[in-house]
Amino acid sequence: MEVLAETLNIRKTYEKQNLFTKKREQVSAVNGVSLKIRKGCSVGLIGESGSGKSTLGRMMVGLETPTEGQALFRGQSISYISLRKMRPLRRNIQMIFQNSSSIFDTSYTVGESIAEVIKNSEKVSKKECLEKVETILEQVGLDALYAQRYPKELSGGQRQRANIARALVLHPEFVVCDEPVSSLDYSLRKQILTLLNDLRNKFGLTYLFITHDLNCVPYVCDIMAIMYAGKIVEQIDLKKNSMQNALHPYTSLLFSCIPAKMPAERKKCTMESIIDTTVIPDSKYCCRFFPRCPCCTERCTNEEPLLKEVASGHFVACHIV
Amino acid sequence: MQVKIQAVKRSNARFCSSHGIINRILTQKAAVFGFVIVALIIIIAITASVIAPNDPLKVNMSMRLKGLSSLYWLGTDNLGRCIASRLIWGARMSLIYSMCVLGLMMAIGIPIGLLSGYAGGRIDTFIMRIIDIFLSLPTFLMALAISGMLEPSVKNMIIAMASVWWAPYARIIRGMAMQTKQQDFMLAAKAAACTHTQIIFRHILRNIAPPIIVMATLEIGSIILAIASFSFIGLGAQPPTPEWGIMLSDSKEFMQTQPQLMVYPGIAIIVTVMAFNLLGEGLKNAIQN
Amino acid sequence: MQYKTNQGVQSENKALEIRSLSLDYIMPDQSIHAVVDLNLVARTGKITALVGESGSGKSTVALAVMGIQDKNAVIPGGEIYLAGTDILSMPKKGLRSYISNHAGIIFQDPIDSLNPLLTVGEQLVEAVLIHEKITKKQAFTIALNQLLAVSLPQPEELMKKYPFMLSGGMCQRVMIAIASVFRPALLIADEPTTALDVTVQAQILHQLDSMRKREGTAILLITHDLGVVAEIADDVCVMKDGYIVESGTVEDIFSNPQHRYTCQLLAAAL
Repeated sequence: MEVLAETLNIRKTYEKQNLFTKKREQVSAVNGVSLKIRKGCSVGLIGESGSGKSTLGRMMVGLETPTEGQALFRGQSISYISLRKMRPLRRNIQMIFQNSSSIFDTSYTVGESIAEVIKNSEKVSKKECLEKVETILEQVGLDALYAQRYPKELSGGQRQRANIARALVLHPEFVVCDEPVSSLDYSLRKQILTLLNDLRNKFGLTYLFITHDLNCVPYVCDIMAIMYAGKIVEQIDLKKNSMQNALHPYTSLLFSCIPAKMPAERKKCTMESIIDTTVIPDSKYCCRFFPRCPCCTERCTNEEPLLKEVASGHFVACHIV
Repeated sequence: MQVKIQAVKRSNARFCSSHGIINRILTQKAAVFGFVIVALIIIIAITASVIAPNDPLKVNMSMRLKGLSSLYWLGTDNLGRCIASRLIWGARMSLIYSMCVLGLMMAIGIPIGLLSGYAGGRIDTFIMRIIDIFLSLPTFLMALAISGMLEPSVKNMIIAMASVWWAPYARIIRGMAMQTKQQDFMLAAKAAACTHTQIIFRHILRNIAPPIIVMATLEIGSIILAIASFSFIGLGAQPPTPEWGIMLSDSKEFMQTQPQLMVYPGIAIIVTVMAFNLLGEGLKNAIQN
Repeated sequence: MQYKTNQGVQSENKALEIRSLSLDYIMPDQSIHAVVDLNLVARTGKITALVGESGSGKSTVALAVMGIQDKNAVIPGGEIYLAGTDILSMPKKGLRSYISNHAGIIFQDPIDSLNPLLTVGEQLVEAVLIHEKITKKQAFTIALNQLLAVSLPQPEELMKKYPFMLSGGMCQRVMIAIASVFRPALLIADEPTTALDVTVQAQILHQLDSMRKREGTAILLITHDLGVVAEIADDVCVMKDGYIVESGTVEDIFSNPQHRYTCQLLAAAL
């Protein structure tokens, strides 16, 4: 299958300046990620907050400029080009944002916000535009009447649907979903995930699905990628392997932290095994996870593990695997 | 919960946001008062040629300094001109001049402020230093100096005022633009394939328009006052234009004997400035809630 | 002077008992019934979960128990027995200190709940000194022990840090330390893990769990996440539109839900 979106050893560092000492600090958010996303093969990107997953997502839709490396779409670089040059590509690269309450311009109605996307990419008459807006609203499960509402008049779930409608109105090929359900109520999450999955099948979309919740992954993803401290530490093709086959100690940690589904299934886990430290080692020549890793060896502290294929479609970056 | 559901339904039934703002203005007595007076002044200004009882420029030396009568509602001035007519035409002049100053100020301040706030970086630093220079000068004296250097006329006064007063305006707009730029929907606008121009005008300007309108309304009062002051000292509108500042200036010689000549234009200025300020405050409260 | 108490049958293990509580928000043009005829018991050493979607009134209950509800909130009826005494019938004077002696609360956003201008140590010591008349040095020792109790590493270092230097999970644990400084009978946790990562969530839940085991604190856990409920709760109350639609032990609710809404919630699980 053809490669749709791709990153080549992409890096992003932010500069933080100390208020008093004026010393500049480099904070690296994404630290050399090469990720290939093939058409029709949605990737779930999982990581804790601060792992750089949202930054990677924004770079892959060209909304953020990387410090090093580049993001490609169908072989064309989208990293260092102007908004105007990005325009023709926009209809195929879209993003569903996390916080639907602040992502709409409050001075426009939902319909106007969606119509803006259409008008920017296509030459359409007013009537056609309106028809398209109403069609997509109905496809995401909202009444066409909601086009005339202002964002603040919608509930959280409705607004998230409108957010999805805006991203999908042009039927893009590649969509980055940045934590689309984490700001929603528990009872709405499944609805939205099911909707995203239905739309994926209907429009033939490819997602990069960013989340911190492993439970979401099976709904919309074909490949699961685990990110830790700006690097991908494990990648599993879920068509060939089960999620449970994960090998990296960090992935196991994530799995062990998922709350039980039923009271009877409670794990009598001892949380003492999780060493709590968010310190990420500075050295480039070590595994970034070693201070938290329960099975860390000497080698982990002086050599950086690279992604290696342990089974078909299953990559792990760990020395002990 | 019943009530809540009904409330939601009601708010859904009318989804016009401007409707809400007008309602909120109407709940404030002072703002309504200001609005009524402003509306009245605007109507008077527009219909000045119809409602003025006499020609404001017609000199009639035989009718000098007369008291109130059915022909001359507020009496006549030292040249026998109808004070009421001059006040009515003065409203028109004050409004036209202040609108010109305000328009010019906005035409300079808004683009510069938007550019500075949106572009950031070096452009911002450069523009801000220029604004700093303007802000460090006493604005009224600067305007005085400019209109003094040029020939005293209405046109020069307007140019002088606008060319000095845009700076604080631009600075506030820059601040608002910067704030809007950091909001999440800017990212969404970029993802919607908007160009920089579209982002600036469709999203930033649209979002900061309400506070700009409030600022402008509050500003009109002080502009009217400033225009009257300029005219009073002879640098603005020139006699015999029916203008409130000139009327004040003309009547200052008769302050002891005919104080009403100063009182009428004085009251007109106070009422107008106050009305615009009340309206501006009301607007401010309405958009803040 | 005697205040209304709920002494009697099995009252000693009820840290919190709410009887037919109603609460309305008075708006200029309408009033909203946020809580209607609510009955709830939080037992000592148990975790009681109050489950509901946003807008169901569950946080309002928490604020009412702490006596910090909004100014436009009116309580037309009901009783809130905190550690045996009805706080609604108590006079205003002394109410604040009574509540803060018997109940602590932690909120959804831990970083916003701490004062950004004071160090963690200063805030902890302050919390200790409010409750006990002791020297600063003694208070400092108590504060250190509090941090150790919530298993924060290197507490001496931590005391000197400002809230923005800590991660969300650490801040939440500092909040737990502050809220439990005086060994309150009741700890209210209002969506304590919603803003946190799964790994941090597991730590915080473990912390709450060990606290009720160690101290015998009754915990009222307010959440919309049934996963969290299944993981640590003992009793569950399901709330919708201000009403409690179903309550029971966690096993009953999960294996044999009665109300339609509870079934819907369970079906929505991922």
